[in-house]
Amino acid sequence: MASEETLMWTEKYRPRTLNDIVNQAEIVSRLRTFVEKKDMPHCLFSGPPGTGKTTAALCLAHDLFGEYFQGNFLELNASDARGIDVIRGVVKDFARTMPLGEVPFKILVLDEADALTQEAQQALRRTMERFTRTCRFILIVNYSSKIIEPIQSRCALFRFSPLSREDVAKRLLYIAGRESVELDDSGIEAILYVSEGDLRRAVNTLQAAAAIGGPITADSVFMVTGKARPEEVREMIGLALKGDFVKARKMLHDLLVTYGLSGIDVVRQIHRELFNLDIPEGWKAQLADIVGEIDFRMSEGADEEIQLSALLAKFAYVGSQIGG
Amino acid sequence: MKKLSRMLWAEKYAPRKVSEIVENRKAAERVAEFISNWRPDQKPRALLLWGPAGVGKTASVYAAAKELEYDLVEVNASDKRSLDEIRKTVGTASSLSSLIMGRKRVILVDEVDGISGSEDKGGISGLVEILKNTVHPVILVANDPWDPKLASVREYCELVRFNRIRSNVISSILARICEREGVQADPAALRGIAENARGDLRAAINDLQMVAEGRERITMDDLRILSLRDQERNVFDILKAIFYGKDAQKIVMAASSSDVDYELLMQWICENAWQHMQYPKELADAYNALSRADVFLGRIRKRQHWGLLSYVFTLMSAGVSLSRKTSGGGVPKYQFPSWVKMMSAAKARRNAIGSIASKIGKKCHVSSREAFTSYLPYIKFIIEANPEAGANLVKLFDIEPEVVGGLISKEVAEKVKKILS
Repeated sequence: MASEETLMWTEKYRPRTLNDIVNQAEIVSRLRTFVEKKDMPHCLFSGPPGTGKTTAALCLAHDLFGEYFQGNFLELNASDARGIDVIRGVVKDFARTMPLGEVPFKILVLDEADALTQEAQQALRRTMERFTRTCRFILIVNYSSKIIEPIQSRCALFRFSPLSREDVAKRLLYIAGRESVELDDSGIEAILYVSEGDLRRAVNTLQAAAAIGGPITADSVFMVTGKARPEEVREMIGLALKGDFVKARKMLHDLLVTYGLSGIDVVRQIHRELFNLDIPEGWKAQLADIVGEIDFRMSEGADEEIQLSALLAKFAYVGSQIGG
Repeated sequence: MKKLSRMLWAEKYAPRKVSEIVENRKAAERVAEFISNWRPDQKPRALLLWGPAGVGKTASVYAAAKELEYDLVEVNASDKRSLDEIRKTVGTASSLSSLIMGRKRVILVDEVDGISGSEDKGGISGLVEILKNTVHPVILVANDPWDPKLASVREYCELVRFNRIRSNVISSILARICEREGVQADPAALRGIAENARGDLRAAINDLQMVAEGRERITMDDLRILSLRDQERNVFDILKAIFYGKDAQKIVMAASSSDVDYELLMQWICENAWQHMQYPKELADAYNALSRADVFLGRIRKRQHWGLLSYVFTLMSAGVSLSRKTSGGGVPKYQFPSWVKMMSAAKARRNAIGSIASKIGKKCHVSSREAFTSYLPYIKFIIEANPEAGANLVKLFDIEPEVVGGLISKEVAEKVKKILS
């Protein structure tokens, strides 16, 4: 079983104890004092994806509970199990029973807590207060601003900084060494470029590129990301700018359904492609403004298809202005 | 079997005996009794079966005639010529000869309330004449027997009421048909069809046949076409009102007073607005308005602030439509929202992939959404590039073979299956 769990390199090379975490030094040292004192406040971990938030929470719990980890630790993903019902049900059931072992509390990790609705957060706040004695919460978010004030004020706030290029490169080289995979400089550069500081994506890219066999180079990395990010995005923008709204929209549907990209994936990719477009440079920032607005709306819960259709229509208009 | 399936199920499974009629049994028995006890001098002269459509009025006459071995002469009351024809043959002389010569007859006059009162004055009096003189049992059928123009007809008739059929009865009949047709059906789907039919068994059977066309299994999802089909005519009118309106308030009214679900209406507008926009500026403005409507909808969902709904309607209708500054040409051919179609087609696949994503998420400490974007593409790549390594992942995440096929190419899926077996 143990070998199964390590099939994904992100899991295989996920640090098991706080001592193994190489970056986020400040945060790690504070978490260590929690372990030493066997006490901790509720925590709010915020920071970009793939910077070690979940890992830090897991390591903290492992170090604290040791052999009692199983019964004392619960990880919930808020974006899978959001809403008041979950907070009231699962969380309460876990939080109100006594912990095992010598640590006087349990730990409940609520990952992607920014997905919780306002109502759920209010309910959570009361639960946090009620069960403080037996349960400490670690909320993990990308943006702490998405968490309501009353919860923020009850938590110790930890901001995870983006990983430096060196940190990511070092980790990639370490893993490549352990896996006996050859990773050249161009390969590292390419992975750094496509993963944008997200170590999870970087490691997944590394593993996928290694699956091809042979040394990992820029070429093999782009083979991987080429699969993950289809060419059609570029073609779709081209069609829209030429004014062929209908065809562009058809292509959009393909990207969303056939390729299974999320709306956010599509806009982010559009944003990257802007710089490769053969249009006067001055227009690129204007297009970026459109893209950013749509990105924002979708992350606020707007409908992907309608928003992206509107984006394509706007691109068609910009295209007509450039042309005329 | 294949040939038979072309037949309308509503006919194929029509009752052959009075005892096969489940609901409205008493009424059907009265029909049979009336036919078999008929005497040329009797009163009331005829039966007038009445009730909503598709509840078995005509079917019970057919079943009774068949069971009693009568020939059925069917006349459509709104067809004046056939009525004249009957009047001629139903009269004493010729009717006597038919009594002697052949099998007994029963005359069924359908859609009596369809007789046009004013244009076709002869219609009612012709019918009355038939009732007076007939030597055969006559049975009239109408939805609304209280129509004033039928007053003189009613005098000769005994009224027999047929009721709407309860939906649990309808769904059990649908289930039996499915069994006979070898169609697997979700009980919930059958209940859905039954309820949608509002007591009209014939409509329910027709709907069932339409839904079952080309399918071996019917689920709730398949019913989407049903309710949409009902609404479609309605939608076209609303779209026209939106896109051809000049007055903002009237346009908004057209959108907000329709019984089409507003999210679906938004999809219709999204699919079709471009056809009305001539210039890129108009196109951009129209879709911008629509996207703003959607933003408000998102706010409503988030905060349950339903007061914002009026902005949604204004933006999605007048906002879109009045983006056009030029006058538009002819009426375009409105298309059903392709996105809705694609989403329902892709739903099964997305569900399957969603369940993989959630398995990945649990093992890798991320949400299924994050697994979808930051694991699935890579796992897909690994399986394709290296089926040996991939097979282990398929096993680890407990990905079912059918789903593997949807995720990666067929050949690779075969390879993986071979490795795992």
